[in-house]
Amino acid sequence: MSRYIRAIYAPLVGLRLSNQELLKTISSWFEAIEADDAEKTALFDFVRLLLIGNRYRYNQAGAEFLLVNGFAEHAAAFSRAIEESTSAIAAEILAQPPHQAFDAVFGVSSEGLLLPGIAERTAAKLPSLIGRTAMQMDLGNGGCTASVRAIQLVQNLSAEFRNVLIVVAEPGSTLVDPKSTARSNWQGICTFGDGCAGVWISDEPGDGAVELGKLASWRGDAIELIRWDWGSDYYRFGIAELEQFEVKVRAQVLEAMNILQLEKGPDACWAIHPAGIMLLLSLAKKLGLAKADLEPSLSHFKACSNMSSASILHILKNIIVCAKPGQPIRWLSMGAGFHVACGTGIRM
Amino acid sequence: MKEFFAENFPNVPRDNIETLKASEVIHQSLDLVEFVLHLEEKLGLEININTLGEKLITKTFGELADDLVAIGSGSQ
Repeated sequence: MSRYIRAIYAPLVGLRLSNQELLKTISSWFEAIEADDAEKTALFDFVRLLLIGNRYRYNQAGAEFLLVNGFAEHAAAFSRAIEESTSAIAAEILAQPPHQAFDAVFGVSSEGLLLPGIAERTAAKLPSLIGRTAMQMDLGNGGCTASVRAIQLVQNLSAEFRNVLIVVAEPGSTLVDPKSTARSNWQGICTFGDGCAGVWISDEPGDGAVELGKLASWRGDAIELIRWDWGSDYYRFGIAELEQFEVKVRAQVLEAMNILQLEKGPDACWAIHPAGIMLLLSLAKKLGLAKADLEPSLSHFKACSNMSSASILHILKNIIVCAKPGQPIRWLSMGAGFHVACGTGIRM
Repeated sequence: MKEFFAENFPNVPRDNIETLKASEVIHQSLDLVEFVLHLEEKLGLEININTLGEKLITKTFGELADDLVAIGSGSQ
């Protein structure tokens, strides 16, 4: 049976911060942090390198996110971010509600846990669209590929699930460990932005829908490459072998592409997870993609940074709006696991 | 390096490029990445930005060249 992406909901949530604003905040923080002067200088130069140029991100933990202290404050920031994200997605859905109710809702996040979950909180905000007997379940710990793997899961559900909503909330700023001088911690702070998105998958086509084609995922050997480390009082973004990170990620993605056999398609529109500009450009080169194919992903990265698994949905939304009827659409995402997930579709 | 700057930053004086720092010339991350990818292609190396790290903005191109030689010869 065919399934279709009927709508993507991609609100922007949180405080918008430029590279320059973030650098200024970090600079003030570094004056107060207790560390060896040479270590601080080197770390700040590393941060300057990561924040070169014009790029923005959204931050749901607020302007004073570097003052978050203790487990309870981190967990509360996560809870507030989920509330803000689910409200924003629900508002977009209600602005143009589907004609049929959803049979299932899946919440997706990798930054924290809370009860009741993302699915139940969304359902409570959409009582006319999500009945009490609808399946409501959260999927955790999927990293940057979680949203596209959730779509893959929904594609393979039985026919009784006719309309499914996936709600993604990735408030990376709630993981910030301001007390740590670990480089991967600061790489996370400078690379990620907070994001959320929803996607409606249906068994019926409609205006502007995308018919789902082949969806696949692959897990490589580099299981520890991206992970949550245990920080001062919460978990935080971590990387194994920081110095070899990009080379290893590239190698894993290329290995996956050989196995998954994602066809390039000469007139396809591409959504590639914006893990970073270096990775995007070098992968495109190795996969033989034109730089123009990367434009939607690069534009998203400049405007929102890496929103973990919410990013690919924001990029896909823009691509679907611009694509012509009949045009192929491709997506490729990579992240913790180490997972690579890809998919194809056709704009109806 | 000279080739990259001649092509992409024609206003940068090429005669004393080894005394300049990348941060004085490159102000956008996309350009910095293009620069690293150019070096990868010309040197036949895989360069991890984290290997060079902040040297990319604190060292001169001359000093960077020495580091690249070290990376290429496997001593870094």
